[in-house]
Amino acid sequence: MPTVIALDVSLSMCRPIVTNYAPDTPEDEIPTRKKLAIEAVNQFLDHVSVHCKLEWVAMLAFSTLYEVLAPFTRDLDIIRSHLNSLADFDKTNFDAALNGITTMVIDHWGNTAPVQILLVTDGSPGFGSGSLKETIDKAKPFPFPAKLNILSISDPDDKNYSENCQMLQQLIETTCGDGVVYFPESHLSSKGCVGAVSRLCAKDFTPYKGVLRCGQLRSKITLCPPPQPHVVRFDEKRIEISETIEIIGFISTAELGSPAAHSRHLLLPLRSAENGSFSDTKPDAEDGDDIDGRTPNFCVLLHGAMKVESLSAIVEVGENWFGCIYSWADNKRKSNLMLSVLPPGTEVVSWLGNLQELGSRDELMNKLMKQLPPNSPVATVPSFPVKALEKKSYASNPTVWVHNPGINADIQKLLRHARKLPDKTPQFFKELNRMRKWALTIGFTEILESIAQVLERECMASSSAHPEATIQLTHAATQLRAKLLYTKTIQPHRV
Amino acid sequence: MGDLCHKTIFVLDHCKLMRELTGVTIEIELGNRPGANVGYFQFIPSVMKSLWNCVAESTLEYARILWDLFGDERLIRFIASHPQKAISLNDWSKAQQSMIFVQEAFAAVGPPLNTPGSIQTGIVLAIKALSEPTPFQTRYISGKGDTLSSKPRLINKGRIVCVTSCLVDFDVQEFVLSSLGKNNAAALNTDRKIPIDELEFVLLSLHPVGKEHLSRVLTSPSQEISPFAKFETVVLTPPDFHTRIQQLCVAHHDLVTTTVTGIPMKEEANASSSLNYDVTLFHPRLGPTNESQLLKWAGPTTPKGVGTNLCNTACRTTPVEVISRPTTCLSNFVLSGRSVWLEAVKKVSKANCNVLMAHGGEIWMHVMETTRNVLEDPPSISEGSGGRVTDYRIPDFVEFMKQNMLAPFPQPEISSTDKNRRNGDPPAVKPFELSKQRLWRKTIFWPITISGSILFSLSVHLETLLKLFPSDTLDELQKVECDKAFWSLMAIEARGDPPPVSSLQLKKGHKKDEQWRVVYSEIESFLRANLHSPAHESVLECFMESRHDEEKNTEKESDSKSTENKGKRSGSNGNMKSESFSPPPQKKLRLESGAEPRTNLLTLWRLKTEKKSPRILPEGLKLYAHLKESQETSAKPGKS
Repeated sequence: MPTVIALDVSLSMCRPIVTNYAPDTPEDEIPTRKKLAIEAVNQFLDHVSVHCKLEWVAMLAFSTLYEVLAPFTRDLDIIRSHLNSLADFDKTNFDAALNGITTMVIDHWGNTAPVQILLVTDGSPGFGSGSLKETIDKAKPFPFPAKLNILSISDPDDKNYSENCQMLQQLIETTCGDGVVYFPESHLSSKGCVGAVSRLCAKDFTPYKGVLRCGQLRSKITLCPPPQPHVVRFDEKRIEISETIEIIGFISTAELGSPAAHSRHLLLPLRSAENGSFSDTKPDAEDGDDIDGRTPNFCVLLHGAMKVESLSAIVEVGENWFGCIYSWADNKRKSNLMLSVLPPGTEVVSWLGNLQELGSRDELMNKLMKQLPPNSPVATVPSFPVKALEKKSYASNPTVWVHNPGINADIQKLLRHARKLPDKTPQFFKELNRMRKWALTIGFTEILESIAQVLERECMASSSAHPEATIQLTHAATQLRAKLLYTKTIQPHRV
Repeated sequence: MGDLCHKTIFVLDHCKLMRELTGVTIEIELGNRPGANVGYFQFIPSVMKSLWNCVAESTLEYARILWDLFGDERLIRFIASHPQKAISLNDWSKAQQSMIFVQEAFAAVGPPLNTPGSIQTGIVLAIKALSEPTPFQTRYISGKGDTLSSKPRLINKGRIVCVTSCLVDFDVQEFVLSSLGKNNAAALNTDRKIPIDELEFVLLSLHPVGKEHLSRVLTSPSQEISPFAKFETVVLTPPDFHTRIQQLCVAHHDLVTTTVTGIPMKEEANASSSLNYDVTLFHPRLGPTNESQLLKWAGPTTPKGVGTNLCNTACRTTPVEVISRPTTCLSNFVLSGRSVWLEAVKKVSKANCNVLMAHGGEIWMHVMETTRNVLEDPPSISEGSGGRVTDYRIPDFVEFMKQNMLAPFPQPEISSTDKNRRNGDPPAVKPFELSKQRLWRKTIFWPITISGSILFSLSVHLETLLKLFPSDTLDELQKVECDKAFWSLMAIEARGDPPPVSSLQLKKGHKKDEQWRVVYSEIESFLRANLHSPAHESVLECFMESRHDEEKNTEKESDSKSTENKGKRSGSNGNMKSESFSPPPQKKLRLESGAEPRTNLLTLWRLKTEKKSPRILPEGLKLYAHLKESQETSAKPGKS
């Protein structure tokens, strides 16, 4: 997921780190907070360039105003180059930082792509408008899914240190509710910052390594961007995506029907060079010998076959957690495998039904055939989409009499059918029964008498009507007054 | 869950006061009657709804919206309050959370009683009903998988909307609080009830037009009356009632609207011209920033650059005016299987693209990502690992996928598993687990490239076998086809020719008969990996016997050279570069009761070497005697 680095370039960042731990350092070698911040960002970029190659990174600097130094790019050298020429500005304004980040993300990704934010500051809350306290008071959540991590280049000996850290945590809570404040442990030093960045990278920028399997066919894979754990709302339990993504079967892409994804990831076969740290029980000796591209990989086979037939695979990505894999091409026609992770749970796509109840169609067919007497025609296997138990209102010709035209419109419709009796007999009685049932439901029995009168009037008024029409209309009027049970349906009079 | 929206209860006064007429006249219009007898006139008196009629139709509208939008996630109950006893019109079960069921229940209670009413019985019953667990809550309490200690306690919240005419001094607030207290105390003593952790109570005092001043309560906004209860009062008349109920539904369930504008539609009267109409839909918020919006009809074709797989959120929708003509046109269009793409009225950059689609008879709105995608500019699969291999068995894998398509297993399966569990039986294996096991079985022998196994180079001879044998069942005819396939190979061998494959596929230095062994051992692996039915097993038997005959013929020559079966297979594995292909396990054939184990190449080999050994078979015991037996018992079509 894209990452925004927001770097504090206020004057306070230029404060030298005077410390008791290294009192002998010559004055011109005393590092400033800004220097540590730049080191930290560089360390972060180094990590990303090695482990998260497809990551988009942008950087902005903020003080009273903000300035976009580098828009989103995968070329991290562009960002590095800006770090060498950072100017110093006035005071810290967190408001400016948040505005800058929001504008930048919305302009580039819209409001749906989840974004990681790394805010690097010296932890001083500032004062007046745009100060940390004031920003927290009026901050709104980011209008896109976000995670805000803050690297505070601050010293535990600083004035109000813990209070400031708490306020930074509050800033996270009010803007997105997800993220951590990182700060150098024990005291402010270059080493401490390295540790903090390492912790950040380990938590949120570790590439995923796992296995895609389909029965005994398997391939080592990585997901990009790395999947985030799902945090259960009421007990803060983090559920990680499993290291084994297992295919349970296949479905046509049309039947899959664009379910809403919790997250989407490119599913890439892991190159053998990237396998280094991957512990596998069966290391394949031949693997290293051959050139990577020439080693057959199950992902490529799967991709090829799914693309040809427009099929998708339903996969299990964790306990009670599913997803789907399909072939996806961007507009440059470079196609690859994509994994859409569905929201956790088993009943998350209503038209697929309970995902744990999906099974092999052929086996179900055999099972159903066995239940049938021999030589009977082919059994019908339930298919997608799984239908809702009851028809929705808009699909079931409902009655609405809330506004007066409702009743009159229904009466007009009934009369239109009445004038075409006996041709429209079924339609006439269908409408009549619908109105009668609704009148009984809402306890509006008086209207039944009105409808009966309307029908009688129609009967008398028409001179040219078919003789059967008169019989049916009189019959209908009598039945309406007969106080029949709700469950009874008025049938046409048999002529 | 743990959500106020999960349970909503309507308590409806069903007594004398609700018989009052609304004060709004409805004229019955007859319209212009073409061809009517001039001068004929019969007056049809106007009618007036009672308060109850309004209450019933508007509260049912609340239920309609809820059930259309949330399926069985959000439940609703109706209670009719009578002086002595309140009547519950439905319960929390799936079967009674249904418009058809509730309409019938309303019809069954009919118009209000002609006795002075009381709302107390209704309130008490509603609080009791809130304490009853819904199917969802029951599942959570009886929880599967989760350990009880780690599972947080169930939070039970809900709303009660009470409709009456408040004409006497009666402190509803006080009554609700005391009933709530009593109920929660009682709930502690039983397993069947759960205490109520939070309650929102809305009192609607409904009066005929012009009589609202008689109300003994005043409209007051929602306020906390205890740490776990909120109370709101609204005094109103029938013309405002429906709107108020809709507003409550919108507020309670955090709904927004999308108005689809510019829907081209033929005019009813004049079919040749078409006008543009608007339809407004209710739906849950599609994200924290989603507000009510106006979107333009953009037609049924997928816009350029929008992938159908890039859906971020989706929700059910329901029309605000369900019976208007534009609504029914739009609904029917979408329900017939077409998509309706919507675009912003003013071109906004980075706007998402919405689409209306029907799934299983429900209209959904999907939000598709059209903005720059995070995954933009991905590497092509051909640039990655395995990307330059050109002999993947793609058509075969397509066939494999088609044999492993998914289907939703029917409901009875689910209920029977539940029943089993209740009886203490181990839970039945879920269909998706069975499907995974099936994939496992079907991939025991599945080289992913053509060069992964010598068999695919012999496809001219083995095509039918490779195609037919992996399927679940084999009929008699297919069985014969399979048998024929390897006989045709054996015929080539009998002529003394080497296996008909390019020399690259075979290990250099191997003699002809060794090459044949490689071929046969792979056929055997393939057959053993696909023993899906007795018919499959008999094909394997037939193969083994044919092999055995061959072996006998070539026994003398090959004795010294042949290696163990296993060794041969590892030789053939040298050709299989696929990482994912592992040698099939040496599965034993299923034994028929009493029968001796059937031979495989290994046992054949052992028996052969034993012949040379000084050990002598006891007299009367013939080698391969059991083979003959099985030859007699098992049908062997095609073998003369």
